Amino acid sequence: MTLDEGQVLFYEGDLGQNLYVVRNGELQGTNTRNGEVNTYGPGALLGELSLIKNEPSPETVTATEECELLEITPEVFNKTLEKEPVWFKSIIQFLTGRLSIAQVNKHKSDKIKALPSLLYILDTCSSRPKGDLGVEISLTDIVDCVHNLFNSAGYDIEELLHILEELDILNVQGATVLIKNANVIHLLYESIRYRAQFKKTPPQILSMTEQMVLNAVIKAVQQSNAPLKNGTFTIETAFLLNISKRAMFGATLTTRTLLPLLEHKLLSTPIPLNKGDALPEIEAIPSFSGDFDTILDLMELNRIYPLLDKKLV
Amino acid sequence: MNMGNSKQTSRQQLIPPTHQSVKAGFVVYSPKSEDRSIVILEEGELVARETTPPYSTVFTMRPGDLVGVAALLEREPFKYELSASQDSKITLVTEECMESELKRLPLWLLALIRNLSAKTHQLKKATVQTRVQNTLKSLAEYLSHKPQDTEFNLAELIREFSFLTKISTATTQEDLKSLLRRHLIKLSQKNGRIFCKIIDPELLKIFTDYLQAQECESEFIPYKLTYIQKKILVFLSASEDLTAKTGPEWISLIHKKFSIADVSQWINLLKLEWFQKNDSDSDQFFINKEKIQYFLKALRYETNIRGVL
Repeated sequence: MTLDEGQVLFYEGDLGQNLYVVRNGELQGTNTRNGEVNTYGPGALLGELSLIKNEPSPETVTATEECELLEITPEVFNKTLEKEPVWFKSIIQFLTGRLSIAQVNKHKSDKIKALPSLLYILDTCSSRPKGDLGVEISLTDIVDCVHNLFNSAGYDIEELLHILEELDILNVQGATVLIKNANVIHLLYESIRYRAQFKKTPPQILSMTEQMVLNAVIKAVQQSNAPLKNGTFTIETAFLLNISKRAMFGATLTTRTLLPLLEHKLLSTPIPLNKGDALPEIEAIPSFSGDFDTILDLMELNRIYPLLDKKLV
Repeated sequence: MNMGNSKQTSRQQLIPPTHQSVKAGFVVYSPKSEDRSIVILEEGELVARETTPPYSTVFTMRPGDLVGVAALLEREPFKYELSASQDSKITLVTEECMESELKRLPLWLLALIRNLSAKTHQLKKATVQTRVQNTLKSLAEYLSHKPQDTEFNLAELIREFSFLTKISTATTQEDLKSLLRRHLIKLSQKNGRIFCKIIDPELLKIFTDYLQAQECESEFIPYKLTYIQKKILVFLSASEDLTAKTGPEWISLIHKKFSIADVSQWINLLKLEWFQKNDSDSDQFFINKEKIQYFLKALRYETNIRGVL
């Protein structure tokens, strides 16, 4: 078959079934999803996966000059294979399957690898607060910045934003992205960076016990009538112990269970607990203090962190 | 080139595949072996195991399954030991057999096989490589998000940038030199450590946009301004008029100052986003000071941006 300059062989998404081999001339394929442009000259093949797996065309292919193509229909393909040994068909199927897996893996990998860049951009752009409703950033600005930084495709960035939206970190509202809590974005970025750099669990990720203790602390602060002083709370130990009985699902709150949180300076006590000294009984400590927002943000990070990995893979 | 008819010239002797009956425990393939072949299981069961303790089973083959295609066609190593877990019948397609088979295929089918294989190889390679093509643009974008006049430990910056983009340290160092030559960053040394200071993040952003325009093979818009547009730009930047006006009012004001500026010029200025509306329903425009500053800065530092200092 021949094509004139400007003639379209097939459109992106078309369910063609033929394979084309370029004999003469040149064609150009454009993909609107990732913006890629491919050029096909003599010897190039078009539509392999349409022929073998009935997959829609990933791009619109247009002749940029007069072209001569060899057209292989499914009938010709099957008749040719019938003349070959049985195992030959298995090899074609194997190669096709492997190509499909490689395509899926590449897409997943592109998305996963774009996440740090997206979080970096969201984190650094979140320094423009607008009222008490969070931070608003233009969707176009985000997509452009991540594209400049990591050459990510727009649809990968939008998929990632959708995942972050599902995790309740942000809202995509038309052309604007509303970041609900900029601190959580920052913590998430730093956690992922730490994990990549040191190949171990980031210090911001708490153990189950630490999370249970902080959960009890949050409940105690919320139920107590004492006002926060510059964001800092102080709760009586007796009150915290009382709340922890219900909030910690049967686990007992002791100085030892609180120790890692004291060491991380998430909580503090009015009496000094020196390293090496015997730990006092919890009842001997009159109260615990800490920055309420820091604890809330950290707990939010610990909710999101395990879910994010699952959603990405 | 005749992709459709190869048989007339490539009729050669066909080497048939080898059929074998193997007993349970027989090692069909060992990674130590230099011979490559495709193993097709006809009857029985084969298992692929790790070659190091605890010799875990990686996968089990059922009749009809095959392995070794990538090893044979792409020289990809097959790192597992393949043995029969029960008495089995197998077919071995050796290199010679495959070669003789490929030679008698129509050229288009041979091209199809090679294409499927090459595309997979390319995708696998692309998965481990950075996506970034313009490393300088990527670095400029990264640094444009850092605060001005803060001294950053250069090693830390490079580490974070590499985490984000997977670009090699050597490439980043070359790109840093390029930014340094353009006076977009400053480097200093203290106690044996090198520190980097961002002179103006907006200038780095302008440089990123300039590189993006170059990539798209289009002239960077601030460097496409006409003489009269440049004069209007200076006039608007100096204007302290923050009040909103209708389009005709702005046209009249600009025309009074620059007699050759007409309605078509006003349309161009709107395209350049030098004016903006309070909301989309309003007919009132005010000067977009942010955009004006962007254009002015791009022009003022044109030699830095173009790298022709």
